[in-house]
Amino acid sequence: MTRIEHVHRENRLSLIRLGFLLTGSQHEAEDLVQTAFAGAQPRWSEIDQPVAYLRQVIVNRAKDAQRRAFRAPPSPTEAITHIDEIDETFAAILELSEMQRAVVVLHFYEDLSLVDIATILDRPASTVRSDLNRALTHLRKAVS
Amino acid sequence: MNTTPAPDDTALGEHLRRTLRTVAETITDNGQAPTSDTVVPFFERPSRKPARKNIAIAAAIAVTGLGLVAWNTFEDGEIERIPTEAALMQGSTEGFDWWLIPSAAIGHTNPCGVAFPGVELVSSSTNKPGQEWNTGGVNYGLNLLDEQAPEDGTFTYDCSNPQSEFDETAWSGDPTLMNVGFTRLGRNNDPDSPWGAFAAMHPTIEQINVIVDGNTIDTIDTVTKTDEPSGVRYAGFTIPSDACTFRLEYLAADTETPVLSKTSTIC
Repeated sequence: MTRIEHVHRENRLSLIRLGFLLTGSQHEAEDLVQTAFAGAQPRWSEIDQPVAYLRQVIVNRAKDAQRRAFRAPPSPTEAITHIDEIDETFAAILELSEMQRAVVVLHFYEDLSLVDIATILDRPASTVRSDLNRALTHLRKAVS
Repeated sequence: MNTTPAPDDTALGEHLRRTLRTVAETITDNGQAPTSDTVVPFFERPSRKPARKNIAIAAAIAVTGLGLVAWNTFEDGEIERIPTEAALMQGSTEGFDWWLIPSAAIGHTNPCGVAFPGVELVSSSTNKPGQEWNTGGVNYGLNLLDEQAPEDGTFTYDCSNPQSEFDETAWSGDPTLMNVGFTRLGRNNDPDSPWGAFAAMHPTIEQINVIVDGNTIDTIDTVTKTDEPSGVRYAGFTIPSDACTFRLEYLAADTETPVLSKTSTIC
């Protein structure tokens, strides 16, 4: 059994980065990760694949948080990388719906298959594929 | 499933990978991670507003007027796990796993912190770790808030003497009184999802027939909460996704004839 402090030490940064890509906010990403670990700690011994579990919690909480807030999609006003084409593309990603954004991030950043993404998001794989196709259509226009 | 992007998407895919990787690498750790395996962190939740409880009367049939006798709840409480060990009934329908679980085991309470006395139908599909609870539930008994509810339905909770607002004993003399509710096992707006339905009824009702389109599709042995073996009885069951109504026949222990036939409209 991998100890929680070891998983925290080895994966905290990568999970925050995942949260940031999903929310566009480092503060919110750090909250998501902290909340995920806090929720997992009391029953750590029951979790078979802690990193996969934490990732699922973060993805789903990121979606829920945005639905709760009834807010517009995050849109950073400041350049992040100061590489225009990168910043513009990321801004376009943040314009996607939370579901499409999650699919894009999980597929192109986490390199997960659509079947694995379907499991995380609890959507049929065919629906995930439609989400991805719609997202790519939007992004293709945005970056062209 | 084919996960290979179409040829014209290859360049876009590579661009997205580079974008996401480059953006992610701008995020650096602020040093909160422990530096050694010997450090045992305590993961406190970030401070947040008090939990918001938003209970909406939905898909409910009540024999009394205004009370929250059956409800669907979307609560700002993170799901850590479904307490399946507390389930009174469970099933799997069209790939959806579901459990009928006492509200107390889930931790759902009224605004005074008193656990609801009834049960909730929990679908694994819509209650994943990290999500908010999305359940349908039902209580039994006279809702004391009905006695004080003004016509506009605005309830007042007096938390100076916290107690349940449901008086189950008030219905002990009438086995025809019951509450029924239902919720989608899948997403709430998915017309292809079967329904999960639930009922709370008199302690003498040991069995119910579930009737759809004139056909009895199920006969359910009702159950009690484990700590109240002589108490209120509950049932969980499923209804096909395309059904518009269902009817329940409540069969009392001491008679072969239904004590009530109740039709519920769900479409």
